[in-house]
Amino acid sequence: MLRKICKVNLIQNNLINSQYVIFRHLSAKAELNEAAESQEKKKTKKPKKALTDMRFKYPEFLPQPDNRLRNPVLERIMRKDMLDRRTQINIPEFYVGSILKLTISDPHSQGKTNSFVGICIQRDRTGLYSKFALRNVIDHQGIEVMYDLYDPAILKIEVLKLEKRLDDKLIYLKDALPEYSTIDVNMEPEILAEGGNIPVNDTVVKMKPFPWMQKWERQGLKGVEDLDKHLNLWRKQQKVKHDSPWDKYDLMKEYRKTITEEEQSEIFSEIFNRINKINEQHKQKAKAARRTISKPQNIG
Amino acid sequence: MNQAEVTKLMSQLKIALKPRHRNLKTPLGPEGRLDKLRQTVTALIKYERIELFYNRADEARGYTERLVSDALRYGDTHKPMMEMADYWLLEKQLVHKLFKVLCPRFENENGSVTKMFNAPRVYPADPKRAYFKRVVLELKGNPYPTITPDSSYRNKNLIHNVLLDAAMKDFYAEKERQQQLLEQEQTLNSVEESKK
Amino acid sequence: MNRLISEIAVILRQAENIIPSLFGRYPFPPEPLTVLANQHPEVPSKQPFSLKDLIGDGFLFAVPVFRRTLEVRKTRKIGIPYRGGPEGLKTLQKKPYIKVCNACGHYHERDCLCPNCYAKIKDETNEIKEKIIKELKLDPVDKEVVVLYDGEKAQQSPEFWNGKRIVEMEKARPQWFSKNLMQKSTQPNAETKELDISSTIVGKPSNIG
Repeated sequence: MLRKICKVNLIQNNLINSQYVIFRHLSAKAELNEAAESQEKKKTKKPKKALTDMRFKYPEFLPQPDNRLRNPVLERIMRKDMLDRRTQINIPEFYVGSILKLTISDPHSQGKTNSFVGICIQRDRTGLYSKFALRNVIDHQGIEVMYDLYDPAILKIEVLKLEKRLDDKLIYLKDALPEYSTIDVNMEPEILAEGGNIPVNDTVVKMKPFPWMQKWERQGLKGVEDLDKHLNLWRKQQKVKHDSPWDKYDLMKEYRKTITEEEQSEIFSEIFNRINKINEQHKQKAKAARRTISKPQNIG
Repeated sequence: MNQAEVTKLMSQLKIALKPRHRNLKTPLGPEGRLDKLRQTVTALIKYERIELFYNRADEARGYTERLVSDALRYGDTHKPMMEMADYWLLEKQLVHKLFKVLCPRFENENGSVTKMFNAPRVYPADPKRAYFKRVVLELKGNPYPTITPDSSYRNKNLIHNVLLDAAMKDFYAEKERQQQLLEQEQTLNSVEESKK
Repeated sequence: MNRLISEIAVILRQAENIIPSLFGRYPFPPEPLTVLANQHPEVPSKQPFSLKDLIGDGFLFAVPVFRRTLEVRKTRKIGIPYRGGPEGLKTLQKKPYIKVCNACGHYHERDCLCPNCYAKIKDETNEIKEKIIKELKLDPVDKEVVVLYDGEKAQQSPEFWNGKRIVEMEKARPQWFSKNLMQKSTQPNAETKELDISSTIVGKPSNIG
């Protein structure tokens, strides 16, 4: 559905990029009503915290960390397209572990729409290709559906419960007891107080007996019970054998998986004003919709 | 196409990095690779200038830059930072050096913290074996004599400077001579006028 | 019955072989008669065209026509390109990337350091390193190290050396090692675009070679 526009191999010269970053950052900062910095090449000031904090809310705006697959022109175009899509529907802030209700247009269903309620188990990919997966257990059958976040067929994304979990991905819910994945389809949205921290749901999930889909004991999951009681001796030995405790000290491995602070602030300063404006507009719309409850609303 | 990790923020490294790490063959594998690099990073921070093979030097460069940039960001009271420094610097007096000497030294540094030069190629090389490039890796601001010719001062023994100095000398000598001639003329004129 | 026939056939074949020996040195049939016998006009054999006849055992391409001369053989052995031969023999290749060092006049490869200059610097560096390690031992390093040669410590007041760890080399400063003690490794950018000779002279150390 979404095709790549072009693929260009990029050889990143970090020094040139950093200078480029500094210049563009300065031009963007003028918009944010800050005093224009002098063009002296002293040590650049640290980027504003508000910009870098946006990486939690809008992770799909950040490009993929692998240099070989990056295309800066494509990224800029995609960011613009993402903002254009966001003017059409409100893509709310949500995290892995939040419960969402998604309404999607489906030509084959009655009423031409289809909705799914589920817990978000993962958020993947970047840019217009970004996806998220929802999981629910319906009629004793576990169902996981992966949706494109910027799919034009999506009519509405509603966050029923905004919260985080102890892990980045909840794929282990497949092998957990079904009660942890069952979400009431007719659940009412829980509204949080404005401007607070996102609550962290620290439920520790119990697993079903063997067989499992993946070797959960090797993934360092925090939201799962102590898995040792499920494992046999061989499994435990293999876990020790494959464990790499030196990985947490591997600075360059970590660096190659991230986008640097300077680049993040550059990207978010590009979209800062527009995305805040869009969010405001959606908020106003929602408020207006709540006020006029008596009037019947059009879907879609 | 995975999403970038967002939990930790890090500064841009001002060196050219390859998209993938090098494996560095060791008996212990990945653990051995990090052990080897630990030794290199420790040596670099201890001696501030080391000569070694290119591949390991290039890897160690990234780790040293990251270590210094993190030390600048977090300082020495941050516990995870201390653990990281403790892991990477095998001699514990160098942990003190990192925070007390290198951090102030590179506080206002805009570029990279390390410099790498290609060491002279060793001849005659064994034609039957591959030649491994050697490299000199150093921290900026080290107390040793500079490897590249020192252009921070004007070397008056270089030919162009010798000629320029001579030309300047001639120019000023000529100027002074002209000035003296002018003064002589003026005095002569004033004497004549006074006579009249 | 079949066996009997085949045995008779064998005997007849064997009998054929005896016939020449019966006539000794005289050929049989006698030659004049053979000439007569072969006077039938040759009928062109109308066999069908077969590729096997044409190709047979196969062609051999790229077979040498002339013997390689001794000169060519010897030239090839050491890898010099020769007339009539391929241009790309790689054993002996020109190295256009050898430069002359501006400072000392020795030769070095374009991307590498000059071995003569570097050897000098390396020796001095190793001496300084040894001295520093001997001086600092295992104490926690918390001050910048400054390397001083003979008679340089006395040139500055003791307050100047506050906050720095001094390592004294017991020898005279080498001619080529400048005394820029407080020199930054990175040059700050010029403040104005105008050329100012005084600004280019950042430090004026003495005793430079």
